[in-house]
Formats: sequence, C-alpha cells, structure tokens
Amino acid sequence: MTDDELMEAIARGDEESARLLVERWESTVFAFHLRMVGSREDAQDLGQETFVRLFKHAAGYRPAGRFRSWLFRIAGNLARSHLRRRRVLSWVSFSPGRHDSAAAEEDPGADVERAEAAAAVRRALSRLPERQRRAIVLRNYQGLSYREISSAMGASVPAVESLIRRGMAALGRELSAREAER
Amino acid sequence: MSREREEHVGDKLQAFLDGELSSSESDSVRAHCAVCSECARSLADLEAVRVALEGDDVPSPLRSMWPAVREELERRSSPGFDLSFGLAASAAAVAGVALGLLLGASGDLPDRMLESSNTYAEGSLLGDESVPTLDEVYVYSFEEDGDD
Repeated sequence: MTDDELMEAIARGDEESARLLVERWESTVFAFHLRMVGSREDAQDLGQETFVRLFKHAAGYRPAGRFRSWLFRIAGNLARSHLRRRRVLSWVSFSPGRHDSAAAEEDPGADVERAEAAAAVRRALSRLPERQRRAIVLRNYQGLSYREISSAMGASVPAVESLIRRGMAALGRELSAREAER
Repeated sequence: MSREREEHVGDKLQAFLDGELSSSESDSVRAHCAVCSECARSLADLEAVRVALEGDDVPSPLRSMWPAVREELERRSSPGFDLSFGLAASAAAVAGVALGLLLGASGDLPDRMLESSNTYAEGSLLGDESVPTLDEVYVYSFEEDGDD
C-alpha cells in the first residue's frame, strides 16, 4: 500500500495501517530529528510525537502524493519548537557526547578517523541556522526535492535553494577550517 | 575569452549537484566548469561537502515507536483506538470544497486549493504551545529573509 492509501485507511480508523506507517517511516523520522536536535532520547520523543500528530490530523490530509512533505512539515515544526524551547535556535548545544558515545557503543571497533569526521560534520551542521540545517538535512539525508522541501518548510523554491546554497557553503568553510587545524 | 569563461556559475552549482537544473542549464554549467578552473574548484568543494555529509551514519531508533504512539493516541482520545479526532480538519477540508464550488470551480479542486486545504490543517499541526504569535510570525519572516 502507498503512504496515501495508508493515510486514507488511518483516517477511517484503521489501526493496522497506522502501525505499518510508523514502522515504514520511524527510522527516517528518527534520523531527521537526531540530526536536527542531536540527542537520541529527544529524537525518539519527537519522532513519536510526529506520528501522534500525523494520525490526529489524518482526516485533514489530502492524498495527493505529498506525504513526505506533510510528514516532514510536522517533524520540522516539532524540531523547531523543541529547539526554541531550549533557547538555542541557531547555536544548539548539540550534546555530541550523547550521540557519539551511543554510536561508539554500537560499533566499538569503528575507525577513529571516520568517527572524528562524522562528529565534525554533526558539529558543523549544528552550528548552522535552524532553517539552513533543516533544508540541508531534508535534501541530503531524506532525499527531498527542492519543491518538496519548499512544501515541508512553507518557503518558496528559490528560498529553499538559497538556504541550501548558503548552508552548504558554510559547512564547506567549517569543514575546511577543521582540516586546516589538523 | 569564451562566453562560458565570462559568466561564472557559482550560484547554480549546488542546484546542479542536487539535480535541480533543467538539462540545458546543466549542460551550460558543465560547459562552463570545463573551461573555468575557479568554478570547477567550487564544484569539487561542494561535492566534497556532500560526500562528508554522506559519511555520517545515524543509529536506529532506541526502540520501536509504535507502542508509545498507540498509547499516546489512546490517552488523548476517547476510550479505545479512535482516529476520528481529525473531524475538525475534515470540516475545514469540507469548507474548502464548499468555497471552491461557490467560487465556480466545477469538479476537482485545483492543486492550489488542495494545498491550501492541507496547509489549513497544518496550522493545528504546529501544536498547542508552538502556534506562532503575531510577533513570532514577524520573527520567522525576518529569519527567512535575512538571518539564515
């Protein structure tokens, strides 16, 4: 079943469709929130809340093949609210320790160099303004097109293109500076 | 000096990498980068950032989300699994259809109307505490226009 078909079934009250949709998307939503807020526990909570809100408003969803945009609009709004509550909208205290230590526990033999590079990417991402980070995460990790991101963020396509271009340029500068320090 | 060398394409490189340009625009970027070392270097730099981003794997969720989602849905609705709480959004959608008919739309609503119907419901998706106030709306506009 497509996402649209599942959403229609959910709007009719079908619990099994809701379970299927969660299982289909939970890893993607978790990864999105983890990259946005940096904490696994928070990403888990935000992911669960995303699905609760998605289902609560299932009857208002218009099946037009835009499920991903709809899902990430909810997920993005929750991430933004979470960051605002932490009063760190643009310079989130990323708590890389929690993220990194969790990864290390799962893969104790991980190559140190690779782990350091990944941590540097996360730190660089965390320093971006929230909207640039969200646009880049949606594009590079979730694979959304500029048009889908535009719908998910409530911004025009040129605005999305600009957010991504400036964000990627800033990431490049940040990562280059790290390389120069080594 | 050729035309490709004269007009740098730095502003288009990211969209080029993301596959967002038309084929003619992509051809133009490729042709330019073939003769312009500055833009070719910028393209390589952007590609390197993208590769760096791809190297960052994230772990799986801590646990399956479904049990907690189901429990929360039950807690927030009437006894039993009840997904009928989207009625308010349905009413908004019905109102949108009625408005479309009043405005003379016959048959299916155009995409724009469907989008606005979804957008209307999204207002409530922002959640209780996160519905932006008027001041916050201005802040968001400012952020979009300038800060980031």
